[in-house]
Amino acid sequence: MNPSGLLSVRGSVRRRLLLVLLGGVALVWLAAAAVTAWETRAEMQELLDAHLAESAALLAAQVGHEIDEAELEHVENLHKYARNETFQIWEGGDKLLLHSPDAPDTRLSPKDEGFADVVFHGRSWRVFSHWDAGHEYLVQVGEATDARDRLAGEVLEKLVQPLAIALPLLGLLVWFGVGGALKPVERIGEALARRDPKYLAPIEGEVPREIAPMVERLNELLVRVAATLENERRFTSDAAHELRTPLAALKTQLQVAQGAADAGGRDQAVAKAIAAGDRATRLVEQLLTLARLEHDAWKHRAETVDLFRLAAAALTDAAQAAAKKNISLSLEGEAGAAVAGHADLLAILLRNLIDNALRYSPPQTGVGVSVRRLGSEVLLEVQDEGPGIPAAEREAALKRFHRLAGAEACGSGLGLSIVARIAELHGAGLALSEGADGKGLKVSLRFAD
Amino acid sequence: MRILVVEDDALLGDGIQAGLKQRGFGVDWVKDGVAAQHAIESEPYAAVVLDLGLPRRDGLDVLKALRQQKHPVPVLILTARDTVEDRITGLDAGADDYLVKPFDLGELSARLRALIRRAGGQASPVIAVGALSLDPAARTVSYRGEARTLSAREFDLLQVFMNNAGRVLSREQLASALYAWGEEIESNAIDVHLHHLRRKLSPDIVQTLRGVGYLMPREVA
Repeated sequence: MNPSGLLSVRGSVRRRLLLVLLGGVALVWLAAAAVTAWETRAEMQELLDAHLAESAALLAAQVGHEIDEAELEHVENLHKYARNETFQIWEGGDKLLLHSPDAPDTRLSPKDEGFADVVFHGRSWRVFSHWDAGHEYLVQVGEATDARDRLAGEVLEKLVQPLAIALPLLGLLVWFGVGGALKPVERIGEALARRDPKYLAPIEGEVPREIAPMVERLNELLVRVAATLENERRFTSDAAHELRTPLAALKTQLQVAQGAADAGGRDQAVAKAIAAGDRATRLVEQLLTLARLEHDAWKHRAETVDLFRLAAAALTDAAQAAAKKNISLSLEGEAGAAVAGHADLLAILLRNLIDNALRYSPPQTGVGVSVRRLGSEVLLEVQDEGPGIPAAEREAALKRFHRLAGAEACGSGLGLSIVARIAELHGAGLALSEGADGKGLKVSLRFAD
Repeated sequence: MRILVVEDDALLGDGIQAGLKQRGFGVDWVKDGVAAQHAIESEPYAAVVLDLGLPRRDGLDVLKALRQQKHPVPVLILTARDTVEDRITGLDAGADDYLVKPFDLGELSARLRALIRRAGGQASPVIAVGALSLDPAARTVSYRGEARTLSAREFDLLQVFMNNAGRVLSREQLASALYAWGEEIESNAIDVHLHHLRRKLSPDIVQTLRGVGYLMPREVA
């Protein structure tokens, strides 16, 4: 179920529902049964008390005229329940006139009137005492209370018994019901397990409301992952295609050298082949730079970078290339203008900007870099006097492999996209505009403090 | 044979131009789609080598526009896009052939020769007009069964005549079919080359129609 070991599986919806439902039902049922039994017992108590009083009154009414001493001195037990009942009739309250077979010789209850709970023969009894109308005979009728308790117990038992059948039945219902309700989850899981890793289409089909949010989030994630992968795939494909052109140039120039009629033509073609090789190399380097930038690790571990000093270093590196085209380099601004970022990445950014400026500038012009503090921001600007980029094309110029019309196509089309990516990683605003006097290109980067 | 190369990459375009010239073609080179369209509309190219990812106007758009105008020039697409879908799209847009970068210069020129030959209505790689036969690939000519040696220009001029046998060609037509832009043309260059051709082959292979132009009869004796 969980071979990766990343998830810690705790609890089970099914078991939990089972426990809660069965426990709850049993608890409520038992409580209801207990209350019912208690109420039944109280009701019964009253009923039996009334019966006892009635029996005593009946006996008291009959005593005197109808009692045949000889016959009634020992009354036979007529019913098994009779064993649980007993009575005594006392003449004047102290002479035992008549009693049931199992009645003791002493008074059942010390009271002359009303109910009393007493113990004899090792059992608990409820006794009712009553004088007849002429106050000659005291009638005492008793009933063993254990019979009452047994009755209440039986009622309770009858109430609880169905639980023994109902609980397992309910358990089965819950078990299969929950299983059925979780089927969609299982179905989605199986569908995901069967999926080809490259198949990232959203999950479709019916899902219960409770699971829908989870599936929706998962679908959103799938869409994002698919977009990222598509982006990567397109980049790889674009990169491979972009390499074909300098390679074709390399091969073609070499074949031209091969077929050249004279040494001059051959040398010229070989020099161009070497230039094509350099182009391919530069393209590969820039592709690698871009690929490295895709690692999100750059988002962390920012340090304080002195942008001014970094710009000075980048210009020093570019000095030789600039001298070849007779381009003058300049740096303006404040020493110590620092930003939070990555020195390596910012150096790549500066190198690309200066490289681009030199590449597109005509000879005998200038390339200017300025690093200034502007309120809480640091503003970096790189300006050239080249052909610039028409306003309509500026946005597209930041995309990968975009090359400008009319430009001597020696760039890889990656320089500005690398700059854009590094700016993005630093949360810096990037803008292209024309340079001073509307000439050339000015690239501005605003680094928030 | 004059070819137009449309390629925005400086080193590759330069290489193709130089390589095709070495193989006997006259080559013009433009770097964007708009310039390509103007060139094709104004010059009689024997074939066009067309890159697809071009600035200003995409190569496929240029091609579609040409075919919409019923322009018959043979077009060979030369591109980095190598999937079957890309090839199908290119050929369906009106291309006659498709070559993927990087390529071999020898293959490119062979394919161009085949395109030009088919456009001239000839199935055989060797062009024959009467007793004359010309092999564009080997750049050899034979007349009445005998091999004749011609200079590059003479060969090209003969090929233009043979491709257009039975048709009158003006001096300007001949010049623009032979020379790329920027090539210096002496005012009497065509006459000089024609004079050499007549001397090396036969005075009757091409007739001069004063004030109109030149004609190679369909049956050269």
